[in-house]
This record gives sequence, structure tokens and C-alpha cells, in this order.
Amino acid sequence: MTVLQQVATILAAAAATVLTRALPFAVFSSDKKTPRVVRYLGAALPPAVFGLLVVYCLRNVDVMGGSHGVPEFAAILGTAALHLWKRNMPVSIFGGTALYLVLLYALGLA
Amino acid sequence: MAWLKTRMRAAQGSGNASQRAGERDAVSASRRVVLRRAFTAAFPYTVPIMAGFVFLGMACGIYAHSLGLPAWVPTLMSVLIFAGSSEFVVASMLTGAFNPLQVFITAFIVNARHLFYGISMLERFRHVGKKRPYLVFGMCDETFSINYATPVPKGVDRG
Repeated sequence: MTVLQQVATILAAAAATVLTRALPFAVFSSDKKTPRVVRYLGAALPPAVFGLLVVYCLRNVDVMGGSHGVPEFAAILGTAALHLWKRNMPVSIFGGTALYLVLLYALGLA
Repeated sequence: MAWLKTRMRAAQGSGNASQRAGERDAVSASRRVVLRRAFTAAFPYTVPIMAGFVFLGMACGIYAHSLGLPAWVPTLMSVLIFAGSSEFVVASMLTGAFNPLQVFITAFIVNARHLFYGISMLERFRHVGKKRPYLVFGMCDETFSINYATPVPKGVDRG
């Protein structure tokens, strides 16, 4: 690829990405009232997305073999407990990640 | 869930009103003070995200280098695309044959989840004025989680 073609490739990807971000705002412009269904989706989707991300994170965990997903589920429980206790997002993120890494090293998986 | 939303929105509304009143009271309060207040309110929320961005950015740069791409490629992608996963995909596609349509479609599919983020942020980005284009452009997984989940303190505007 020439430099010009590389720039064009990046611009094509940038245009597609901008489109995914701007499309809802362009379709449901501020003059008109947003349809009820869409507003419902806007309220209902984020918890669904967060749930989906948890499933996505665990897609490669093998419950039947290896460590049977024990470090993963222990780390999730630990993170949840830490968050319910301290209610502090940075503490939960770093604490949960640290717990997971310690478990991996303790079990000789990393 | 719905009642919580309504309450939050109501609280935001009253926050904005008192904020406007506050601004009228303290005309002497310089723009710098306002900026500092916004910074100290927002910075702690963004620290975990920054840690993620720093390492993901390094990984993307190392990956692009391993593919034999020059340094300006990941830099330009970071500025123009600003979406982690698709930058990795595009980096690998830059080593193949020139096919911008395929890149466009792939990037759209990889980033299709932004459509749902946008639907969720429609109401919240409604009254942010000239900051809206940048807030929409900068809407990625990380900024969405923060903008969606973080209560905006009194005296600090959204965005």
C-alpha cells in the first residue's frame, strides 16, 4: 500500500466509526421528540450492555477443564464484595484486578 | 429503574438552575476557578480509564510496529478513529491489499455497539450546546461508562 492508500484506509475506518457514533443523534434530532421506544431502549440498554460485557469477558473461560474458572469467578466475587463495601470505583477496579493476578500467580497460571 | 431516572433528571435540572443562579451571584468567579472545579471533580473518575488507555495505547503502538507500520499510522488512527478494537483490526488490514470499502464495513460492524451508546446518551447530550459534537465523537466504551454512570456535581456542567 502507498502512503496515500494507507491514509485513505484510515479515513474510511474513521468515517465508519464517526457514523456509528453520530447516527443516533442525527436520526433523532433535537427538534423532534424522541420516540418512546427509543427512549425506553436508551434507559434499558446500558445495564444490558454491562451484563453483556461480563459475559464477553468470560467467553474463553473453560469451566470443564484447566482451573475450572475458579480464579475468574473468585475475582468477580471479590470485586463485587469490595465494591459493595467501599463503593469506590478505582478501589474496585484495581483491587479486583490485583486479586485476579494474585490468584493466577498462586495457581501457577501466569 | 424508571423512577430513578426521572429523579436523577429532575435533580440535574434543579442543579442546572441553581448553577445558573450561582453564576449570576459570583460574576467575579473567574473561568479558571470553574475549570479547576470541573477538573478536580472529573479527574478521580477518569484515573482507571487513563490506566487502561495508556497500556492499550502502548499495545496498539507495539502491534503496529510489529506489523512494520510507521509511527504516524497508529498516531493518526488514535486521533481520527479513537476506538481501540477497530484500530487493531485496521492496523492488520493496512498490511493487506487496498480495499477501503471492506475497511469501512468492518469498522462499522466492529463499532456498531456505539449505536446503542448513542441511543442511551440522546437525552443527556441534548442541552450541552457546542460541546455536543466532541462529546459524540469522543463516545467510546470508556467515556460512555463514565458519562453514563457518573453523577455530575453541582456547579460543574455536563461535558
